[in-house]
Parts: sequence; C-alpha cells; structure tokens
Amino acid sequence: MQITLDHVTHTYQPGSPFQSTALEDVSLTIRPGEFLALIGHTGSGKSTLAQHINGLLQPTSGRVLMDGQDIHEKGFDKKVVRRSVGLVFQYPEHQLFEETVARDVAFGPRNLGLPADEIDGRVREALKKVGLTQAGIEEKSPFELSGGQMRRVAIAGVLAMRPDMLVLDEPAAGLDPQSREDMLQLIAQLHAQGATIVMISHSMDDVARFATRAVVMEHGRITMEGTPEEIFRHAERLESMGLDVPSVCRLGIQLRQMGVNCPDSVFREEQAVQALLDLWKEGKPHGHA
Amino acid sequence: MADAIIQVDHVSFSYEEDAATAVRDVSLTVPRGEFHAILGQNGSGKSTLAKLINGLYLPTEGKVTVCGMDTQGEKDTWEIRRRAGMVFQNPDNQLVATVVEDDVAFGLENIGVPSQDMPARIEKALRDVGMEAFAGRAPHTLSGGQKQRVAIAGVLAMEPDAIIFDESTAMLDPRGRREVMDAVQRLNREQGITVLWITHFMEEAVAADRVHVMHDGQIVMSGTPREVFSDAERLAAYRLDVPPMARIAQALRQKGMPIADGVLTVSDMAKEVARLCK
Repeated sequence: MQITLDHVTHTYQPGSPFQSTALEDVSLTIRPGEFLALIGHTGSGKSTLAQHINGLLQPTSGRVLMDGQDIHEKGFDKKVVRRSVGLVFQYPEHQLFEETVARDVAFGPRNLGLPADEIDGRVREALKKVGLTQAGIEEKSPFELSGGQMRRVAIAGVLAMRPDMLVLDEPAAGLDPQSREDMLQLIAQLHAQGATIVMISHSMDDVARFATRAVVMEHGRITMEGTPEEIFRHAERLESMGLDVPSVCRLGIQLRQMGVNCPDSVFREEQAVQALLDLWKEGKPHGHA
Repeated sequence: MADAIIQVDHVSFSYEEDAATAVRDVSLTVPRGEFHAILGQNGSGKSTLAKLINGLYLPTEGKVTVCGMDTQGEKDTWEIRRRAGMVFQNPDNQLVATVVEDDVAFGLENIGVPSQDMPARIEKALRDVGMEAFAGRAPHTLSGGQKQRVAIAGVLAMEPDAIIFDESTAMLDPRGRREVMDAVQRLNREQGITVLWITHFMEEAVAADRVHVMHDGQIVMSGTPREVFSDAERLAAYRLDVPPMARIAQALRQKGMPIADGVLTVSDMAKEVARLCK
C-alpha cells in the first residue's frame, strides 16, 4: 500500500480572520516498508501533514492518493484508508477511556463489527505486540498503569485494526529515558515486522538511529528530503533553521573547524567511535596547512 | 547551615494508600544562589521530594526547612510557598486567567499585595522571563515554552528566594525547552535565585552546580555534573540517560584510545580528540 500527497495545500479556517495556511504545495510519496521521519518545529505543518495521510483532514487543494486512487473522490470508501493507516496522536494515553485495558484495545475492532472471538484474538495479538503480556493486565484499568504502559495500550488499540502503516506523532514525548528507549525499540520492531512507519520527532538522535528517510518541514513546506546521511550532511543548514542536529554531527563540525578531518558522513554514535579511532590510529593531522 | 535555602534532613515519606515508602532517608542542602538538579526516572521519588519541600506533603520522619522555616509548622506554609515557589510540568494546567498579566497578578492578589504595587511587580516579572511583549495576550495563543515562562513570572512576582521546577520542560519541544532553560539560568546567575531543577533529561543537569540522582526513593549519587556523569555504568543501572559524548568516550577508552575522564559535552570531546590526533 502506498500513499501519495500530490500538491497538497491545507488552509485552516479559510476566509475568516484566523485563516492560516498549514501546508503549502506538499508532494510526498510514502513508500511501502520505509521508516520515514518528519522533522520540523512546532507549527511547521508536520501534524497537519500526518492527518492528511489517513484522510482525517482533507486538502484545501491537491489530492491524497492511496495506491493511485484519490481518497476524497466520491465513491471511495474512506474506511479503507482509516483501517490501513493507523494514526497515533501525541500523548495518545489521554484518549483512553474504557474500564479495562482489553475493552480499550477492542474499541476499534468492535466498531468494525467483527465477531467476538475475532476481536479477542486481535486484542491479545495487539497487546503482545506492544509487550503488555503480564498476567491479568487485560482486566486492569488503564488508569492504574504507568505513563509508558498507558501509551502502549493506546498504540495496541491502533494495532488491533491491523494497519499496514503507522503514523506516530512524537511517540516518545514526555517519557522517561528508559520508557523512551523501550518505545523506540517497539517502533523499530514493528518496522522490522513489515509495518511502514511515519514518525514525527524532535529528536535528531532518534532520527539518526532509526529512520531510513527524513523530510524536513518549515512553514508548511518540505525544505529538505533524503536519507539521514544526506540530511545530516547539511547539519549547518538544519541549525540555521533553528533545528537540532545529532550531537555526533555537532562534534564533527567542531572538529573540522579545529582542523581535524572528521568525515561529514558520520552521524551515528557507533560511526563516530569508528571514525575517531581511525583518526587517532592514523595520527595524521589534517587541514592545518 | 545559616544560608541553606532548602534543607532536607533524613526525610522519609510514604503514601497512605501505598505501603511502599516513596522517599527514604533523604538528606539534601541547597545553599543560597546555587542551581541544583535532581535526576531520576519516573517513580524514583523526585516529584514527591519536590512536594515535601513545598509543604504539600509533610515528612513521616525527618525535617524539611525552607529559609529556616520548618514545613511542619502550619502557620508558615504560605510563606514557605511564597519563598520557594513551584513550577509544574503541564503548561496548560498552570495558567488560570484569560490575559497573561492577570495570570501573573493572580498570586499577588492571594497574598494581599496592594493593587497600586502590582503593575510594577508584574511588569518586572514578565520582563525577567522575556515575556513583557505578551502582557495583554491570551494564554492559549502562546507556545508551550511561552506558557511556562508566564508560569515562572507568576512565581517571580511573589519575590521568592528559590524556585522548584518539577519536570517543567518535559512537555515542551526543543525550542521551548531551550527558552525555559535559558530564562531559568539567567534568573539564577543574574538575580541569585536559588534553583532546584527536577528532570529526567540529563542534558539539562549538565550546567547545574550539583546533581543528585534519585532511585527508588533515595539519593544514590551526588556531586558536580562532571563527577556524576563520568560514571556511565551506574547511571545506566539507574535507568538514566548518559550524555552521548560520555558514552562515546567510554567506547573509545575500551578500544585503547586514552580519552581523559570527565568528557561530557561536544566541545570537551572535540578538544580531547584534537589534542590526541594532532
């Protein structure tokens, strides 16, 4: 399944004094199986873009295509997109409301009108995928769980719809370091199992570690697009947009300014360790002729 | 200690509904003008400690004094909260008024500041956090970082000696976090406001005078950031983040590259690598 945004513009409250354009002429294809990171400031249009991917928002102009078909065209069953693309909002645990974990996860499949045993099976499968396997957890109130666990319940509710693509809006925000890492590993695992991932993130270190492709947004437009290596080669440009860059990139920039020839293709920690060891072993000073 | 703003002396506390002790035998002294950070994962007891200092909770054992006042003495509770104000995590739960300057005025009305004195105090407080241009704005039109700075102004207007920040950047984006961090560091440096900064982001603790690590209700490490963050293995055992440069330094040492101890920041590492490779 492939989603394409074709020259999408989105204007909130058009014609009113509050009119604001959140997306401007955005074209983007999300390829099956990729791990795409959406980067940009708050207000750059990332969340608006995310809500176009599953048809929750409709473009003011332009089209959203699912496998070549316009999802907003008359006669297109939008439920198909909603089922194929699971959208996980920011702080999704704020939307839990049922009395038990199992009922919360079952909410989506129940709305699909599935038979009871099919629903049970999906709930068990989804809870297992997010690593909530402790005995009796299904019958607990979601509000007795830790913040990290509540977020897993919310994600299980999306997974129970068996989507092909997951769109996650800052899935690690507000979690403590260990829960953050667990959450990122969970997403990496879902990706490894075949899900297409679109992740909005403020953490460039996370993007460097997990994404196969990244899109940088500014003022509602896509300003950069490429593999993490291609994006982080332009660390100075990201910094000029006021965005963070991975700390390893900042190290590379400082070293090059000091005349140490650290390659600009280095953006992950393990690459940095190797590059610095190589430099040290060579023992050859560079660039201060 | 005469000039200890916050003194926590062998304090324990447990919640009634929960048999487990939330804070166990914690001692901590924050001298006037210093910036101390408390690091810990969720459930480590760091927020409980904040509430003990603020007099929201009273110790089951031990003693908490703020500016020399024992939190057990009910008559001092409001004076303690005025002199050691608190800023919380969620920017949307802290602002109550419909206009920024009214929000800053809210606390002043509560402590009975004469109305003719209010405008000057409000103006100064907003200026101190760089929000003076927003005095007439509605809080809901502000960004998260701006809202938190208004919350800080509300505390500042009370002319406190200290401010306790309980994960005040946890819900902000990187730009908002930087805005709040910069404002707080400036208040500490330029006005000598004592700061107790509770967080699980280790990078926010790097600039503190002292760092205390909480785990399982106890303070398990205390020292300068350099001392605390050099011990990457212990931090990882407490489920805390290690600064990326400390992690890289450790990996390089294991491979025989003689990186000096105490490398925490990108510029520490750049200097060290330049020294070894040139």
